[in-house]
Amino acid sequence: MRKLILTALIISSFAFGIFLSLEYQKSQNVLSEATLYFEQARNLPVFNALNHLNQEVSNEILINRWSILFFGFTNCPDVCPNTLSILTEVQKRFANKNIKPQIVFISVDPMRDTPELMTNYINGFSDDIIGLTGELHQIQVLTEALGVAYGYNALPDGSYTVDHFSGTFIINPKGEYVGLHTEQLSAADSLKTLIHDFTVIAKKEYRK
Amino acid sequence: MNKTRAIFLLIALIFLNACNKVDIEIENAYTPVRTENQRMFAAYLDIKNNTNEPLVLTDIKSASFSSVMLHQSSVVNGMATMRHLETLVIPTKKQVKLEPNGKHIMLMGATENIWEKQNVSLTFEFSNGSSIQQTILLKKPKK
Repeated sequence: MRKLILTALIISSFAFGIFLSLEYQKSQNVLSEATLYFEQARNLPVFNALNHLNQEVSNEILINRWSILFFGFTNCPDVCPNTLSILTEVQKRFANKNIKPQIVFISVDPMRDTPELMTNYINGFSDDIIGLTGELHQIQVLTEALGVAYGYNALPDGSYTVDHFSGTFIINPKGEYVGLHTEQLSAADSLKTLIHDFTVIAKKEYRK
Repeated sequence: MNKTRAIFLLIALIFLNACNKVDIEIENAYTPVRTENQRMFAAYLDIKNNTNEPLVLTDIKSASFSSVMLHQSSVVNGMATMRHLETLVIPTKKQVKLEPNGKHIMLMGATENIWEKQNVSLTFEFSNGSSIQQTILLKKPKK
């Protein structure tokens, strides 16, 4: 009788252990509520822009690398640099890994943001970052494809500021749009969430 | 005799201490400086009103920048916005935090080489006529 109870105990604790590890694995593959994954990857239209080195570039910059896109402007002293800091941290987390994403910072204020200003702005963050500017209509190809809203607002000194969508976009190495992280990046929590969700999306893409 | 002197000293100390308690306290003031050619800066700090009246911050000036503005960043329906604030009210005995992605001081038009400096000075002016000068630490990337 004792033996039977012992055996039952051992078996049930094994089963419980397996259940826990399965649950853990499941949670490792679940995206946070802040991120959307598009199983059916979305093609990006052909775009042309000027990179921060004043070179004409197109979709090829998004090929053979994972990319995280963020829209902003260089007259932005607070939200944009804070977001770029977090994206740089994400990048550091994947250092030496093949899924290490490049950061692409796209200006929604191309009228003021010359390639030189873009270089000055992004240089302090990471050496693996691309700044994109150009003509407004060139940038609009990307903002329309990705649904990025933005608008201009006057400041009392006669200049203006730009309101813009604060989410980040995940592009796979085929240059396709596969994920949208809607949360504004600020605290340590959002760093963890984005690292987790980016990993989950990369895994899903490689399993396809 | 000694006892009286001790009590007198104690009262004097308490009195001095009370005088020492400044009306406006600014703490944790810093500005991230990321590149040598940076043009826009944001200053963050905690400001505390120790008086019995609400304080209204009406102006901020600096010899190091031609333009100093108080701004509020926020996210509305997924849109990051930045708005100019005319004034900032610091309620009685309360602290207001200027922090990343919230209220902050925008500094533009540097009149000197910020990259080579360790700190800059800002002067805060209040509606009751008082003003205080505050040193802001320039936080540069670790090499």
